[in-house]
Amino acid sequence: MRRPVAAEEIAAAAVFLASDHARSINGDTIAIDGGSLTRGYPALLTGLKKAS
Amino acid sequence: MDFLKGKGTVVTGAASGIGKAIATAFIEAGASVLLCDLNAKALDDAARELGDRAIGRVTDVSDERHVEGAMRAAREAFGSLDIVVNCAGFGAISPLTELTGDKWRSVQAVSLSGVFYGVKHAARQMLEQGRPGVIINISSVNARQPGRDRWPTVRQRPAST
Repeated sequence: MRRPVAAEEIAAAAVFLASDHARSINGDTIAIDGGSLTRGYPALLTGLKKAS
Repeated sequence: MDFLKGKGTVVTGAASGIGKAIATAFIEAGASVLLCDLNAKALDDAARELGDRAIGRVTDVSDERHVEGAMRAAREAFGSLDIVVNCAGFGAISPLTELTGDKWRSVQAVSLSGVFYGVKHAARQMLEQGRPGVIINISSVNARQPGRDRWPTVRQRPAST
């Protein structure tokens, strides 16, 4: 994705993790970053620059 | 969607940003939410905006007694504490060589110790009530991908449910 992840997109994952649908997910770490680790976070750097 | 119908929840850092988005989504999913934040004004606004199932509580997550009080208050208000999201946190953007010890400690006090207190006192309430719950810790991309001038956020917030 060529943009930072929106807060609502992280919230959607939090609702899932908090629900019974995720009852067998435990002690794990889930990345909600739009896959940006695969590209060195260019969108994040741009977003931070704009924000500051 | 009523994935979280009737659940008693706490979200820290809930007056703005990701925390507020999570509190909003929880309310929409049917939960009751105790919103914790340092910013009293923003907290009031958020709680009012979210309606009857939202309660605001001014909380400094770097103070263990504040966190303990918030977890207990949520259980008392909602009848049980089922879900806790430790979201409050911040990072300092600074060249490593210019970062002061005070700044470093202030980030760790909220973003690391705050999560520890949150997990500890959420778990205590859940054990006392004899009903299991869910704890979610929100971390940062900088925990996985170090970035220039963002040292204090690196490797400090493991996430779990």
